[in-house]
Parts: sequence; C-alpha cells; structure tokens
Amino acid sequence: MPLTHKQILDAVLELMTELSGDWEYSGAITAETRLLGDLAMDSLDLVILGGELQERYGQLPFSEFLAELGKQEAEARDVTIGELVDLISRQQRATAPGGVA
Amino acid sequence: MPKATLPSGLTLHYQRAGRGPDLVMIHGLTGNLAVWHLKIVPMLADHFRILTYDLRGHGYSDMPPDGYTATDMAADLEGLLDHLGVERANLVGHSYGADIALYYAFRNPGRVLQVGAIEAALPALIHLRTREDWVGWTYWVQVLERSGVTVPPEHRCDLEYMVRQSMSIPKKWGPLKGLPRNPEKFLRVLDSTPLTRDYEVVGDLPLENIPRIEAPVHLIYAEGSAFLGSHDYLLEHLPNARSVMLPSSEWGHFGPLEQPEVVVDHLIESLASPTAAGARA
Repeated sequence: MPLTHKQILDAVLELMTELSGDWEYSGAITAETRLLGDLAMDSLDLVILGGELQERYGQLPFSEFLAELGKQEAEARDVTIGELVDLISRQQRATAPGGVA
Repeated sequence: MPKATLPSGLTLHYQRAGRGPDLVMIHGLTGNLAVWHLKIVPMLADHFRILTYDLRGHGYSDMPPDGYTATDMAADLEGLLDHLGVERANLVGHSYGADIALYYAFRNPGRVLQVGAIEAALPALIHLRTREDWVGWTYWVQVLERSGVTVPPEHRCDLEYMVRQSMSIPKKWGPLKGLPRNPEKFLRVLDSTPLTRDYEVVGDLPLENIPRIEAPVHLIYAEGSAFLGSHDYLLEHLPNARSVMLPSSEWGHFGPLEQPEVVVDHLIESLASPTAAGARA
C-alpha cells in the first residue's frame, strides 16, 4: 500500500532537517520551504537529495524533475518541499500494485 | 551523505548508483560529483555500478591545506577504492579528473580495466598551454567577455585570475542554468590551498612515464577543443589508446555537460567491451 502524502511529507521534512546541517541552514523547514530561495541549494545538494530520496522511495524521475526545474524562468525558478513530496507521492501511486505508471 | 575517511585522515564525499562492472567517475577543477549525476549517471546506471566522489577541496570532501597535485589526488582515489573494496574498475575522468585517472592507471596497472579520458590535459604537457598563443586562453577570454567580464591584457594567460573571474559568470548548465554561482567554497580553496600551483606539478607522470601506462585508454575530446595538443601527444605515446572525437561545441572542453548523451553513447560503446581499445582508431 502506498504511503500517504502526510507520511511522505513527515519523512522528507525529517530528512531535510537532518541534511540542513551540511547546508548551513538553521531556519524551520516546512512544506512551503523553497529549495533554492530558502535553502540556497546548489546542483550538488539537489543531486545528494535525489540520491537520499531514491534510497528511501525507490526509483524516481528525478533527472526529469531537475530538467523541468532548469526550464523555468531564472528569476522565478524554485520548488517547494511540498512539490517534491507531490512527485514522490505520484510515483508511489504509479508503481503500487494496480497503479498507473 | 556517504563519506569515507581514508587512512591518511582525509574524508571524501561519494555517491554510488547502478549495477554492473565498476565505473569510477572523476570530476575536474572547480567541479563536483554533480557534473556526472545531472544527466550521465542516470543513463549509465543500467550498465555500470558507478562511484562518483568529490575531489579533496571540492564539494563536500575535506579541504586540507595541501596535497592537490595529480599524484596526491590519485593516492586519494586509491585510498577511496581500498576503503570501498573496489579491486578493479573502469575510470572515466574529465579534465583534471582525466589526468588523475591516468596517474592512477600508471600507479595501479592491475586495478584498472579501461580509462575514458575526457579532455585530459596532463601537467607534463603544461608547455602546450602556458604559451600566450594557446588557443584556450582566447576561447576563455571570449567566454568571459560574452558574459560582460573584461580581462586586462596582463591577465589573459593567468590561470588563477581566469578561474576566479569565471566564478562571477552565471551557471551555464543544469537545473540552475542562468542563476548566479555560489563561489564561496571554491574561492576558499583558491585562497587557502596551493591548488592552482599543484595543478601544474608533474610528480609521478613525466613524459617518459606516459608509455608505461598499460591500461586501454579512450581519448575523448571535442573537435576544435583547445586541448587537442594533449590528445595528439597521448595518442602517439600511450601504448594502448584510441581516439574518440565528439562534435564541436560552444565551449569544447565541457563534453559531460555540453553533450552528455554523446558522451554516454561513447562510454557504453568503449567500455562495454574489454577489447574495444585494443586497436588504435
């Protein structure tokens, strides 16, 4: 049975808080926290995050996710933790028995 | 994030992905392991068990006060592979990473399956690049000036100056393309270590040792690259090398970022068969 959106969000927030020590970010991390605007994540941080998430949730379309991010206008480019959780949640539903990939 | 502390005390950040024969990917100066992961690792993950790592002073690896020569970096790689229990591997490096792969192959002939050397430069061939008329300086100045950075004539052949100025131009590739760089960490390595001086130290691999590298080497360069002088020398003097030419591209030197799909096709073709490098192109 796929994890609920809430379960994934809680786990991702815990992971992000754990990793934020390396990213020198000390603010509160919520679903609205932005990866670029708030956490100032670099490509390397995004790659590390992608690796950690795929270790926990299996194969994700993370490169496609990064490619789509790169297509946004530079001034407005960003993604929230909530949107990242949406991606994981969609993938979990798609790969669950009876899911539609 | 996964880190390995080596017997030397140095801690290196690494990532692993995929299944198959071992493949180690080594980034170049000013880079980090993300160079490989944005496009190339996902495309190679069905073919190889891939290990990427941040060189000392880069990414999330330690930044000790010294030890940045290619000889030192090859010893770091040896320590990392010992730590992870990787006995034999294919090595693919870009730029300084390709130099490090060749240094490692020289020191560890029994532990290298094949080498993919993308735009290797080699400290022993520094004379090809320090001359004022080296085309690489002109390319580099043009890139900076297109981004609005003026390079005074006295600094047009000044490696450290050019690297520092390059940190001020927006990112060119990846999900942060067009956004400003965050150069703080890289400027710290320039300010607090001998990186740019060590980059030129010949150490283990003077010209006379190049013919002693036994591993098959695929020399992967872009048409029109400023580093073709190194390509030509290595093709002539390595005992088991073949040439792989990528199409000409805007920057030429940055194949893994500029044309990752083409690089991947060549790596799969070159490294999949153990005998592929047996004959010269």
